[in-house]
Amino acid sequence: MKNNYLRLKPITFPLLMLLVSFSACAQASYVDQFYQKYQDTKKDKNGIEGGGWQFNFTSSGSSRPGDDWFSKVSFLHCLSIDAAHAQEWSDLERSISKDNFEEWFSVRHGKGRFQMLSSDGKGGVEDVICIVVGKEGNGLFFHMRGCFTAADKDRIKAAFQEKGNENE
Amino acid sequence: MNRSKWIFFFPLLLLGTGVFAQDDAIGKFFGKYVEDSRFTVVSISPKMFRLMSKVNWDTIPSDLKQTVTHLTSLRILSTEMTPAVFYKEAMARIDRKEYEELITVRSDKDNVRFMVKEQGDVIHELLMIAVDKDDFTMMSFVGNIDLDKLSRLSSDMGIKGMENLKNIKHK
Repeated sequence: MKNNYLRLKPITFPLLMLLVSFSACAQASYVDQFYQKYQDTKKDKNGIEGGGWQFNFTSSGSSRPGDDWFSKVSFLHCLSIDAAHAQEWSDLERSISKDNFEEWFSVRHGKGRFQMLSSDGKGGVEDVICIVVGKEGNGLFFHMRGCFTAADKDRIKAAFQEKGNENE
Repeated sequence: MNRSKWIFFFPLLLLGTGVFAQDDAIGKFFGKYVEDSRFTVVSISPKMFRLMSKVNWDTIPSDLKQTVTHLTSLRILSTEMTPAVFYKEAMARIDRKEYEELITVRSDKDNVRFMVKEQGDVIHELLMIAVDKDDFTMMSFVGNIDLDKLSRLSSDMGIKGMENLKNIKHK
């Protein structure tokens, strides 16, 4: 037993580090936890939402390569956040960072911002996030999940860019 | 633990923790202004360039697609506030040992400088610093850079100041 331990000792630390980093990926995402938290806190005592709105959509989501990108979306979450809710913005950004989303591109001008990010999941499923913040600091947050091809992602980028330009 | 085991585990650790670092001139010398609301900042990440290289473009010439494939990031930092002051600061901050001056275009209205960072025989980064009475712009392309092709791509994109790069072969 002791011999086995001594043999494994040199690789114990790197293995632990790997387990820590991969177990973080296996947990429910921080962005999902953020939704849950703000779904609860946004409603006042009468059950009415204040300071923004949320929209959820889920479907089975097609995985056929030839289909339109929107039919491949299996989960869509839209959220509006008021400029006054600075804490929500910072919580959201922290959640995105903890979930290891990678930025595609961003454009910032004064308080305004347009940003797209994505995160690769299991089985080719990818999460794509788009953040559009106006000059006053009010913003929209889109989060979608699906099996997208490179061409789909290019179309998604173009679609959001078009919407972003309209909002400016 | 012997070295061979570390060689195996270290890349895995990097993958697991998602380490990513951007090492362009804007990040190094002007990083504090990236979050400054006086500046307009455009960032295109390596992820986006990887994505663009996978897309089948029918309407774009293959050499331009190749140019994009060899780029890894692009960052633009621009402001209309005190352009001359920021230009002076940029020129003072940039490490001239690392960034070699390639071309300077000076007129009574504006001043455009191109600098390159080389790794062996390859241009790893192209930095443009431009100023006129209205604005100050810093732009950094990182990747395996072919100046001729990049100038074509930039003029197609309508990037102000980059037209000066077009004549580089004739200078």
